[in-house]
Amino acid sequence: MCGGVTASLRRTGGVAGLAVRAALRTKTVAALLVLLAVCVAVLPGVVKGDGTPEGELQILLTYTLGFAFGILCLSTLWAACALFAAEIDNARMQLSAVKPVRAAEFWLGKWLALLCLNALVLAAVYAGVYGQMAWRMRRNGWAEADRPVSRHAAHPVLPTPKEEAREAYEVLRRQDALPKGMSKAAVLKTLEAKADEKYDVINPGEEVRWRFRLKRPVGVKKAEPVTVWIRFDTEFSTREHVTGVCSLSVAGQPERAVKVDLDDFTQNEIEFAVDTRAFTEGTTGTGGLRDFEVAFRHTGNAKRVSALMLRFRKDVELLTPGGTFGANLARAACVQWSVLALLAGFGLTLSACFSLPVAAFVATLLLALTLVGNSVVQAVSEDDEKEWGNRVGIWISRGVSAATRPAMRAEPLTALTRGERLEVDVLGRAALWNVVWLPALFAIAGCWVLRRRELADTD
Amino acid sequence: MAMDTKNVIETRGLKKTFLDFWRRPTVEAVKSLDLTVRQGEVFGLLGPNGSGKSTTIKMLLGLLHPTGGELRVLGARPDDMRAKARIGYLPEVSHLHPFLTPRETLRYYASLFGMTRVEAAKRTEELLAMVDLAQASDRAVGRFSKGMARRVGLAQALVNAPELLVLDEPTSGLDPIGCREVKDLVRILAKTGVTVLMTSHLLADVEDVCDRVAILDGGVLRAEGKIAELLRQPDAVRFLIEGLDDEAAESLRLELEARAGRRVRQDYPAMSLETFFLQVVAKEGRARDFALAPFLARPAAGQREGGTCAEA
Amino acid sequence: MVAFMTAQLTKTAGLRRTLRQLAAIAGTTVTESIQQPVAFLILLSAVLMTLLVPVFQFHRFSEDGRLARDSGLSCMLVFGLALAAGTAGRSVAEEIARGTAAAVIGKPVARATFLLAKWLGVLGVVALFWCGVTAATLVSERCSAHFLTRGDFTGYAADPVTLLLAFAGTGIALATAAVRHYMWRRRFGVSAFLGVMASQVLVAAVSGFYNRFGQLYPLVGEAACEGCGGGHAHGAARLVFYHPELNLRVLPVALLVLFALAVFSALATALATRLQTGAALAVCATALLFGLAGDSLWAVAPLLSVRGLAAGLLPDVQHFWLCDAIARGGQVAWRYVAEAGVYALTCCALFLTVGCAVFRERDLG
Repeated sequence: MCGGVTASLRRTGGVAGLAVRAALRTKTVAALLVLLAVCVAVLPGVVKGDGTPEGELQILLTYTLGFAFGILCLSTLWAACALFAAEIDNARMQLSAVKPVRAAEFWLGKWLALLCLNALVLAAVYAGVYGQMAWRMRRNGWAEADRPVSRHAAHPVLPTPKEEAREAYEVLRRQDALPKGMSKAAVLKTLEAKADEKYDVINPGEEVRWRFRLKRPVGVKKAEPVTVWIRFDTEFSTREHVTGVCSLSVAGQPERAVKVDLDDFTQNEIEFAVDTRAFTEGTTGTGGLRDFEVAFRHTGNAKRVSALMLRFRKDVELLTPGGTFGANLARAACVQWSVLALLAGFGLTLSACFSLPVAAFVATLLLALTLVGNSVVQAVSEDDEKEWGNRVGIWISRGVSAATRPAMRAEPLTALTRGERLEVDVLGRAALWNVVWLPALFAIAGCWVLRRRELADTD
Repeated sequence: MAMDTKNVIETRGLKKTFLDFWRRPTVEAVKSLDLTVRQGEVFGLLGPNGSGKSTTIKMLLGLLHPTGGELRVLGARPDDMRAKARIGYLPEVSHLHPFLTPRETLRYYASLFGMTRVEAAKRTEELLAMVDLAQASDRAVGRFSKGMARRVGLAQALVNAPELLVLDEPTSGLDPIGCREVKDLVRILAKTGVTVLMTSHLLADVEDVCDRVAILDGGVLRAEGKIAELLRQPDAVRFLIEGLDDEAAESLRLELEARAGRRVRQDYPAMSLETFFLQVVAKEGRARDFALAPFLARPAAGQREGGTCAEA
Repeated sequence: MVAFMTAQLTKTAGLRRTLRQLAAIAGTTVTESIQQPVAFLILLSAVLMTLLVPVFQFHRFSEDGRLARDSGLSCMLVFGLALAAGTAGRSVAEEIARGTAAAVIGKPVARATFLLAKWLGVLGVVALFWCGVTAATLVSERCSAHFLTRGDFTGYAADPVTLLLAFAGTGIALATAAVRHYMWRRRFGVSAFLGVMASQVLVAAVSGFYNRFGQLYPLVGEAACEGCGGGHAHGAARLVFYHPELNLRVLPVALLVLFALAVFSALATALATRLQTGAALAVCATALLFGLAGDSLWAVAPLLSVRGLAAGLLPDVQHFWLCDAIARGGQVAWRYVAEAGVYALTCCALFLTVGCAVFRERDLG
């Protein structure tokens, strides 16, 4: 049994080794590496920023990494599409297929090869970006406040969208107001999506409060900054001048609240940091701070200024120190690597099913549809849905989004730019969906086809 | 119908019809083929182009799926992993990975049999020496001549010391010396108990090494049997006398005609062009032999279960 | 005099033979290339992506038409680049590897003639692709929502009829190709490629027989020209029989994109003498990237520097990318198109000359 497993691993390793060698010895991969190197080395210098460290960071993290990742996505997908299809097409598969190698070993070997290559290339790209960033920080002498950070993000203590959806469903059921012709699951899904996007409207003169409970206490041994971050929109999406007072306090100690007057909302964002010493000085407790309260009062004139709107589940955060930025960069690389693993699996299965042009066509079209579908779902409103001409696009987008959301949920570049730490659960979910669960499904389908497919041409 | 598990290859009513995109039949490549290859024999599959030889071989190896009939290779279905571990295959065109060196190629195929690194390295060196490519073992196969690539292909077919060796046009692309070496190799392998199934357009090659042949035409088995039996002319006798001058020969011919009451033909035997060529290059000192030591020393078939192949 | 005449006649005969060789090799290249499934799939991808833009448009900022147009032209450039590199790779690199090129060069065909003919063949395939995608872009822009004001209607109006026709045309082209393949065993790729291209051109032409509300011509006055965006007035009593509401100002811009594709075809053909398809595609993509970023990269570089030399050697794709020029009723002058054509021709000549020099040294055995 053990010998069988060892032999199987050797065979898988042999297949993987061949694929890696093939990649390293082809000019296509060399050209791709040059393209990526150019992207990392040249792109940050080409794209014009706003001159601020924040802008430069945005270019490095969003444009450079985003562009490199885009190239890697396409090349991984197409390379995966070629791995079986090209070998079958040029008859090289015949020599391997007559050896005692299972379809699963072929699939796994080739997938592992792509994973290894992607890990190497992604590591090089991220190292290049990190190097660029360090060089720019030294060259331009960025202030401490401008340097990239990694922070835990806590959201207000509220019922989860799922819980709220269930409650709303019960209310509708009791009132006999459930929509006709929709299943329970569909109604719950709609209600959950609505709860997730729910807005708080803050009229001038009104105040709202949110409670936070941190997973990890802050200020246990040393003083640490606690950052309040709020993003909002004005009622009619105007850039009018809105004033307010924001306060941060430890739960149960309203007298120690730190208040910040705000009157420059041109970015529609509020961000300020408070040192934990403001709450701990003069106290004897050493257990650190875990429960906080954030309050916001709209102090504008009701006659001249419109209300503020914010999605309280997404747009209000309390940020606390969460490791180094370098480690967060590595975590972002891991998330992107997991997406590449998923694409590799998808491409390999298509490659087992179709010839190279057809596999590449299907893969590219589905990738484009996924990107468009997910953007459309985020942008579409209820009014859009009322027009019958829009419905086809919206239905397709929702279908695509529902199928791909688990895999696309983590947004590593957004988190990096906002200085939010990619938490273990995000990494775990990305690994589970993108490296284990979905590739396993693809592998089963791919192996099923490989076993049934004729691997030789006609006479 | 029950199939004899002692036969290395056995087919009953084997059919293969190729279909087009719309699942319509296009070519009936093999029509109800009954074939038996016994252990230890060298079996030749002959036929013109498009007769179904390669299709039959590809079905035996599990690369194509039969449309009908039964098929057993080494007592198992062609997709059985244990059976695959005991088969070696040299396709008509070698289809090697062009960027790999011969050494990497052989190690790769050895790894597919689950060999350890040490086993694979040892076997690779033996095979490289055998096919006389030790000097060129670090050059990419893509830059090799057809003959050299063929040698690498032959070496990969032997990497697992197979019990059944399937050779599709093994001498294609080889020079006369290479052809002779391959034929010698086949003979030696047969002596050690390896069953060989080969196809060839060069009938002389088949005649030289095969014990039995089958002739396919249009997907149908036209003839099958031992070569000596198939080629024998039962109503004719030939004498070979050395050192006889023309006059004595003529008088002998007349005497024989008078005795037999039939016409007697007289001719002068010539050596084959291959023999002549090999004699010439041997004089020049360029002829050489495969280093066949590993195969002469190999254990007989049936004693190698669980040998170099982990799953054998 | 006789000697001169003989020399001239010989020259003319030689030229004629070269032209015949060019036509034969280029024609074969076109036929062989569009037989490949990949050519048809690239065309289908570009056409579908262009036609899908109006389906996924939900925002009404009077930019729907522009978005559709820009997307169509982008698809034209990106997919066209892939098609050019792929076709060049298959018809040059693979023919060299297979020995087909050696068989041709073995005849009295100069290597330069061979390479030039291959480029013309690649260009022919790209031109067919361009026709289909240009028609799809025109249709896509027409189908996007336009803001209209007339007596009984004010608001955004799309053109679902034409969009349906365009999708149906694509479907019918594929079905026809399938039937031809099934009944007469004609090659699916060729029928589908030409069918999809022709269907888009046909839909663009047919859309001139009705307005965006689906009313058939002849119509009179305002109703005759709903949302054509032409900005012209119609006589109240004027009877209109045929009026394609297509933004024909796109044509010179699309022609510029074709010039860019011609340049990349030349680059890909030259590269294919030494590189495989994937590597040639990667180099072309890099050239496109640098070409588009040319303004930022090389604008201020002195001529005798690495950046300056790069600026001189790499094609400036910005010259061929003038989508913004027609954004708010603007027009690209035909004189500019002609000048850009000369620039493109110069780039092509440069790349092909380098390609010929490299190909001359290439072993074909």
